[in-house]
Amino acid sequence: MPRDLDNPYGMQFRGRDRGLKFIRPYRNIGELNPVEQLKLSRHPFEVAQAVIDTYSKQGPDSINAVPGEQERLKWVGMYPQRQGGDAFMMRIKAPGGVMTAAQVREVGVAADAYAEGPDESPVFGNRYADLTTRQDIQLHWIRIADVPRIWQRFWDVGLTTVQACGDSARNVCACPVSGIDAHEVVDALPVAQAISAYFTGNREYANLPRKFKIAVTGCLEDCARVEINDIGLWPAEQADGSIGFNVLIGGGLSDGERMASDIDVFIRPDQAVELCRGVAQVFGELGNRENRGLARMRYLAQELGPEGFRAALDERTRFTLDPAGRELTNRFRGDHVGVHPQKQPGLVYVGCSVPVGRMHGIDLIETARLAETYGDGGVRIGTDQNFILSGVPVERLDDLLAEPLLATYSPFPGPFERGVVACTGSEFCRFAVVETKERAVKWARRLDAQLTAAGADGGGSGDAGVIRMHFSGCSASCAQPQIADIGFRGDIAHVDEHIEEAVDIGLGGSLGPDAAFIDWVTGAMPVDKVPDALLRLVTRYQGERRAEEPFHLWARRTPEGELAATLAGTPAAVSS
Amino acid sequence: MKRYRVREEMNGITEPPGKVWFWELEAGVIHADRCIECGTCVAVCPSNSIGIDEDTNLPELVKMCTGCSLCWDFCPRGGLRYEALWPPSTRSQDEDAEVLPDQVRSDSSDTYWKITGGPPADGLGSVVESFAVRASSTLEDVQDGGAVSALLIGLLAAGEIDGALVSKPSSDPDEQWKGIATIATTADQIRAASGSFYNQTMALAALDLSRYSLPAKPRIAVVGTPCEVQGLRAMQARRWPTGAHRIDAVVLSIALMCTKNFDYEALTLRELRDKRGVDLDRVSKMDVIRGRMIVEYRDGELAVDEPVKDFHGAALKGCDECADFLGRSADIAVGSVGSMDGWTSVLIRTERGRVAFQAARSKLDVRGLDDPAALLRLDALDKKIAGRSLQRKLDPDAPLFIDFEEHVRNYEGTDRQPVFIRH
Repeated sequence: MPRDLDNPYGMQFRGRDRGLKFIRPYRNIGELNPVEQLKLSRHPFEVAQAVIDTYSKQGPDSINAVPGEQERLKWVGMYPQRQGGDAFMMRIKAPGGVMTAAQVREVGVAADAYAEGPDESPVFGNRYADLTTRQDIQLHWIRIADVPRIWQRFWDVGLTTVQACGDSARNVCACPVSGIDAHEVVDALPVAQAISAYFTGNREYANLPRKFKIAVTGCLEDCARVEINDIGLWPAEQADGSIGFNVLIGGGLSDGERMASDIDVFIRPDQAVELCRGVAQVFGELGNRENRGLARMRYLAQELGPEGFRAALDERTRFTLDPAGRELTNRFRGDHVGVHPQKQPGLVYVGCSVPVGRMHGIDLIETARLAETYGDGGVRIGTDQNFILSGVPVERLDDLLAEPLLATYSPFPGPFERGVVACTGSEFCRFAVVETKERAVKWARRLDAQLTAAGADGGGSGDAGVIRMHFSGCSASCAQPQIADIGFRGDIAHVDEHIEEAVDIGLGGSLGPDAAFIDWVTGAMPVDKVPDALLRLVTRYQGERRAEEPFHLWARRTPEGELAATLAGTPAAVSS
Repeated sequence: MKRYRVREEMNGITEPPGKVWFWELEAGVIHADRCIECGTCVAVCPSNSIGIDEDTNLPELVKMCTGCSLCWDFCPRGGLRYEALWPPSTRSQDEDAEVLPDQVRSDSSDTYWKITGGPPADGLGSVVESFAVRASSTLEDVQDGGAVSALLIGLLAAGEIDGALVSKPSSDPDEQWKGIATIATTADQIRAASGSFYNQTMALAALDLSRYSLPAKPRIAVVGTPCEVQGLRAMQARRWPTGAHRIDAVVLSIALMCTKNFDYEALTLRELRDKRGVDLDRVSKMDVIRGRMIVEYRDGELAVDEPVKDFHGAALKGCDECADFLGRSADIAVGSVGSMDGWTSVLIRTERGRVAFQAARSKLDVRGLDDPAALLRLDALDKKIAGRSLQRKLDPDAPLFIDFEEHVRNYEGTDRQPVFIRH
């Protein structure tokens, strides 16, 4: 792809900053929270040129010398790591999770060249990249001096880190098999890409009260997890048979979880960008800019109610809102691991399991090669920290499956390895209470081995063939524990007068037709007690489950006290 | 629970038993008016989510709470059983009996027994050596012989420390005679911070050393009230990555003997300036000596000389619950009680304290304690008040941490019970 000579770093922006116009007229500047004030004092996009011209040359201290600049770095997809100093996380967006082989290769090269940490991880080695639940890829240990070079190389292949973080529209999620799913009713990928293109680099909507998450799916399985996004678009049908999306508003997890509300609006796919712009307008004007703990749009949605939100949106959207159509989603799908036929005859896609989403840069480069050699050159990142190779002719499948890389990232993993998701954890994150990724992988592998040794199949095929175990290092819920079969949240336990890493354990989460969050069953279990507790729990599930019954439904029908007793390894209290 | 009203209206989920957030600290300590403003919660929070409310000087959540519970666990009015940190006494009961006047002994026996369920075995606590001390050369602008200032200056000069956490006067003209926590890194800065301030400063929050110019591995002495030393020692004893705050840098703790401390506005502005007409511009010295509040003007005029009891309304309510007048957890405890005017009583409590004291000794005049019994008497009184206020048994042998649920059981129905306010 030719270099963009006018905009070599992909860091040029457009549109007018609305600044104060977004803020409710009765507000005084003094009431704005500190982050709001620093966004007004200097537009966060200004950090991009400063990185190129100054910080990359003068080092990380020059960033710290500018008040609020660490915060503004988020708008170009960067966070300082827990370690501080010259070590940054860089997040790369992939709208809808869809990437070309060239893009995947470039990210792999960047990971191998620039993401080198001081120590080898016993589980993951070094120079790796993380696939995220928002269909992004994250690199760690990036030095500020290398950033312009990385941006330039990324932009050459059409990748950007702009607004991967910060108070604006994040990566737009979509069903990762959009356009190839045999049962989808509308191709969501062009919609996701159009929404992403509208918001990315657009000053006008780059200063919202908080992060702004959008997901769209045209499949019937809610694999884009629309109910936990600020805007969720999922397929619906009008009485006249036209297909589009119903609009859900105000979902999210973190430390105040909320299922998105149906606001009784139907849109055609070509209205999606304007709809999202209208919602951003509502959020920008009416969202809470005083208390950052209540700034996410779900609190506004809760405050206004579905009807109030709809009315506020109607006033700000350039088309008249139609009432919702008939919802078409019929199940929840946690992943696309395995081999699945595409809607295009003779082609399959292959979902490969990447435990906790962590891959070596070298492996990403190899992934790109496999995509070009066996498939249509596309690599798709799911919302489950796994990837998919698309467009593989059936006759090439056996050769692909014989590739060594697929022994590492297997399409046929054990149920725990398949379902394990983990956030960054205390390795890099400034919030995480405990280490997550290494631990989650070890637990998953150990449990799969124990179940195999016991002759169990992990629960049969389909939904029951996976245990979705999500490990979040703290209540920010980046690993989405509230929608998992088994959710972990980092905590601290008192053990014999000492404090130790621990987890809260919750059970029975899901989305789609039986959407419900987990309940936290056990608090602060020391981490070394967890593997045995899980084995007791899963053994019990396998003994008690009904035919094809997925874990979350079994957990929901089992009394909480019994689940807690099983986890604790104590006899259950006799239920009256 | 996540104590925002709007959050509770949303489809919330069941929390596990015993889950503790900042909201529990807020309810059990801050809203219950028991906070002693030591800053432990700010220092211990691994995600730096706790800041200081500018108007109230109380802790406030400034970022997401991760629910790790450490702010509760380490709070001397929350989950920390501060007396469990006390090292065993180095003195026998008989030794104490020798210095304890009969009347006090019988009195304090009662008190000890009532509070601890045992005899008064701990006396002055762990004491390696004890002295009366004053600065050997006259330092300007010092108080009570300037012993602490001289000690710190001596440690700086000997290269034993790179800085000291002390209180210095606020430079804000609206905050005259308000102490604020700072890290002093030179002898001049220590001199400037010399003298007592009778307000709590959220001192341990100042252990975010990023604002100071210090070596890569700084060594800091902390001078603070016994509660601040409790929080500090607990964090040192139970290490956890503590965000921006450098607990690992603290090499010495010096406790200022203390029966209670005050709210700045209530004491200095309302009681002294407004009620008694004290001209704060002219004040040269403010001190509590032998149970009296003494305020002196620069020209030597005595502005206030009243029993400190008259000012108890301005004291922090949470201070009543402390039975640690003598700073038992510190490396060194210092105070005016037990020595003649111009001298400071010094209890060296640990080997680390002894080494530090020796390093600075050239800057000090040193002799024996004048009246150790005075220390025991005030300690007994302090314990008596604690016995009335603390809604649990004082028990050095019990586990270090107290669960929030147990706290609620102990305090429910009292005038110190948790207060849950939804925002």
